[in-house]
Amino acid sequence: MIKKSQKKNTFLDKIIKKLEGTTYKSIVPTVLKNVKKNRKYLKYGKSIENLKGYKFNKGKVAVVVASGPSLRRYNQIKILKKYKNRLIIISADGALYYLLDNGIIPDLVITLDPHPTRIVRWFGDPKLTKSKIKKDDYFLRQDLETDFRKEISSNKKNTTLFNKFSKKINIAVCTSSSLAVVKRLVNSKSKIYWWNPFLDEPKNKNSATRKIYKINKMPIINSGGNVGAAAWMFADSVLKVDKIALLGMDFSYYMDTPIKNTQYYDRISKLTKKKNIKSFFKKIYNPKEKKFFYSDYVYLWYKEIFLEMVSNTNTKTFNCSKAGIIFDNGIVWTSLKKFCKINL
Amino acid sequence: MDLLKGNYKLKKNIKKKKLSQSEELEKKFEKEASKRLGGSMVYVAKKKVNWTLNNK
Repeated sequence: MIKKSQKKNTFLDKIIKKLEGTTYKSIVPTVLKNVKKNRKYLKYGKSIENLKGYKFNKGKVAVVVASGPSLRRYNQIKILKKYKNRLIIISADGALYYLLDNGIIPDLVITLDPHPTRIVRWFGDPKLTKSKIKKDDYFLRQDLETDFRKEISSNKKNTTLFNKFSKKINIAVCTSSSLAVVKRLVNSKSKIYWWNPFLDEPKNKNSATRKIYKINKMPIINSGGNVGAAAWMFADSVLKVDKIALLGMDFSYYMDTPIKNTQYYDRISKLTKKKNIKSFFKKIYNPKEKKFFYSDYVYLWYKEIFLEMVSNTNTKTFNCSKAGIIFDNGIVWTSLKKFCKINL
Repeated sequence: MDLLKGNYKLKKNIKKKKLSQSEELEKKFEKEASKRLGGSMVYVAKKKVNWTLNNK
């Protein structure tokens, strides 16, 4: 949690506090719809319970590979390659291309976002057309996988790459995922492990989580609101490892990133005039790297949630991203090289 | 807060409070939030995993 001394009654703080409620209202109908549609595809996978305590014939140390910009800017792939046989590698869907392109098949991939068209691109969208691209400029703008800005050609490359390895890839698929993602994974014969999202308190009679559980009886997992945090939760509470390293877990942007390339710019720009856009962002000093980064209202909210998750466990977390804003609450700041040398 | 409107007229004219720029933006934000403002799953449970709903 953010320390009281750091709290200021700013516009940004107020917005962040409102995010849980507002996002809940906007997302639950889509999630419920996707869960119902995905029911007939459950037979193509297993419950995530099958991976409870499983270590992929490795030790009790894992690395979560998220897709923040530091993953490529501070490239630690050589270290990852060196230790890949001893380190459990859990990848966010957005980091899968980076790993496969570097010859690493992660032990587990996590996907959860219910967006109808964007997420399938992380697995290569065989049905991508120019007209689809025209409707959504996300991949042209985003700062996570800059290769994907070459929309058609990078998608073709990624589709081929994913098809090559898909049968060997374990994917923890949230039942909230879009039909496009689920069909892609089923058709490519990936090893699917299903799980349900925590949306609200399941003990409540009208709980959306309870409704979802009744549909498919899959385990309910607290995702922390984003795929990177969910990957950490899988390492901590499903695989039950002792130590978790984070890579590419930035929840922020490098100072030279144009505001237009930030994750939620499209929504913010629709919401307000150009002169007010900066109200949704905050500049943050990282004392470990002695550098500034900037973050937005969604990432700041994710950070709060993630730090709370980390404080609720005995598992030790090490941030090896070498960038970003996740440096407090007992999280050890180090490099992947040092982390692997000491713990493997 | 919305004004409570009755089916009668007051002698005194009550002016609606003018919102500051930040309050205006906040109000607009809430209205637009229904169109999905990013973020995926939203609930942070103290319990991390419920293998079944009968779990305590």
